[in-house]
Amino acid sequence: MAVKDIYKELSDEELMDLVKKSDSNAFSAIYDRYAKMTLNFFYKMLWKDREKSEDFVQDLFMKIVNKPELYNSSRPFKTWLFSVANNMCKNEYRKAEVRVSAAPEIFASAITKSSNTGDKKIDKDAFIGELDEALKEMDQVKRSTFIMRFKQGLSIKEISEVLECSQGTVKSRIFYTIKHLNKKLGHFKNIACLTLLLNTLI
Amino acid sequence: MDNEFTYDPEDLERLLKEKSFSELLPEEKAFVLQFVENDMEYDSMRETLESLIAVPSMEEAISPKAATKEALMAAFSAKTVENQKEEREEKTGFWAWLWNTNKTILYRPGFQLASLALVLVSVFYIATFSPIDRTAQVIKKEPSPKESTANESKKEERKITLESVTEEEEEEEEEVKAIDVITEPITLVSEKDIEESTLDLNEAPELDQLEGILLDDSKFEIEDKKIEREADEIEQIEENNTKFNYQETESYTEIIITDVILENINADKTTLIYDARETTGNMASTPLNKTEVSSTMFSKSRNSLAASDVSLSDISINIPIKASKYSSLLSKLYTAQ
Repeated sequence: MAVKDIYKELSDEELMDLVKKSDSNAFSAIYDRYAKMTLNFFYKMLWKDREKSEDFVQDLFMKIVNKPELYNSSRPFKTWLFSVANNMCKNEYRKAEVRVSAAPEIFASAITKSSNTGDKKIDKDAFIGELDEALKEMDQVKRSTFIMRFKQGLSIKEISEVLECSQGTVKSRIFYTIKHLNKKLGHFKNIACLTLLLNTLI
Repeated sequence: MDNEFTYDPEDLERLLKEKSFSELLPEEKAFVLQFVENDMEYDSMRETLESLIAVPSMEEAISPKAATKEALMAAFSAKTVENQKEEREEKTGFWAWLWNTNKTILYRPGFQLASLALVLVSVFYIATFSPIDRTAQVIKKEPSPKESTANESKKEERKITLESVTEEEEEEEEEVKAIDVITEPITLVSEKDIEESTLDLNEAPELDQLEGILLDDSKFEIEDKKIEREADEIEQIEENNTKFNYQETESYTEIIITDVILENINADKTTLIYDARETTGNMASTPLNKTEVSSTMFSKSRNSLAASDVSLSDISINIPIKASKYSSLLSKLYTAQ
């Protein structure tokens, strides 16, 4: 068995213990495991800004490089990582609020440009576009809850750990988010059927 | 209906995923209708949720750039090198020697030095600041009844010595005063020195003040000058007294002149008639009626003088009287005239 395969079989927590001992293979394995997931999280949270998302991923993993001891092995690594990522997004939203208050027109056009990268040629793209718009209207907490739940596939328990709130709160937020999105996206009733059809054909 | 209160919004998500409104049990319907308006909204939400779940598969997932990983791996390697260097320094440096983990704790130089420092600090503290030890010193210094009696006798001896010194100099009255001035601060301080043995060291500032007094020479210099002045005065008085020693009986004669009459003022011999009293020592004064005094006792510098012109400066008095009384006599003479 190759060395890299051995690392792949190790848990996140075991890998982090090795990272603390300056094991570069362990760090590489952790990066491979979570880089794509965190990049897509940042991508959705940060108005689909690819460059910014790449930078955020690099910053996130640089924290692990510089101070791996910040991670407490008693806590699941995945939730810790998403906590850090979520806090980075919060900080970015704060900065964005300042920028919007300083130059709202410029910032609005930048967001619109970034969010309209996909063409609305078919219902699928239109649905995604409108979903993005609807998510933008939500507050940061509901948006991150929704993204973690439906786009990153985190469990209710994991989300509650990331956001440091009770599971009931997370469930409630998800329910009201669905209800809100239903009002916004109710006219795309055939999108699920279309998706199922596309998946079947592919 | 017992399960009614076990539902929560999480179950709503599960119900939305699994069942249409028509498939819900009656109690589930009752629960669902607490959160949605009707069955139409429930089914609509169900479709939306299915779409939302399908979205990730519809969306194109992005992957990080290879350069990001390369940069991170380079940073990780650099950090590893830095950490290894720090570890080496820790193993070979002063700290490593001070706290050699290969030895048991008692043989580590750091522990030994720290223990030694602690002992020294403790000893210093006990020797200087310990209130228990200070009490012990005070107890030691407090004299027993026998010792206190001995101390008192010593004090008396000291006083006697001082008194004997003063007795030897008693003949010279003023000098005795001077000696008293000299001895007074010394005796005060010496008594306080004796008392010091029973003093609490908390009153150290007072002792400091006393020491300050003892060390302050300027005060003694002032006292010395005073003594010198007084000694000079005494000397002067004594000199005057010795002049009149041979006329001891007359030296205390005081003539109080109340009235003065000058006769034959133009003649060589002038007669001074005056009404006066003679006082000898502390004896009661004896009035003297008008008495003629020979002009030999008075001399005139000028030949021709009117009675009104006679002034005190023209008359020299040869009456042997005590010098200290001379000025008062003259003033009285002047007043009478």
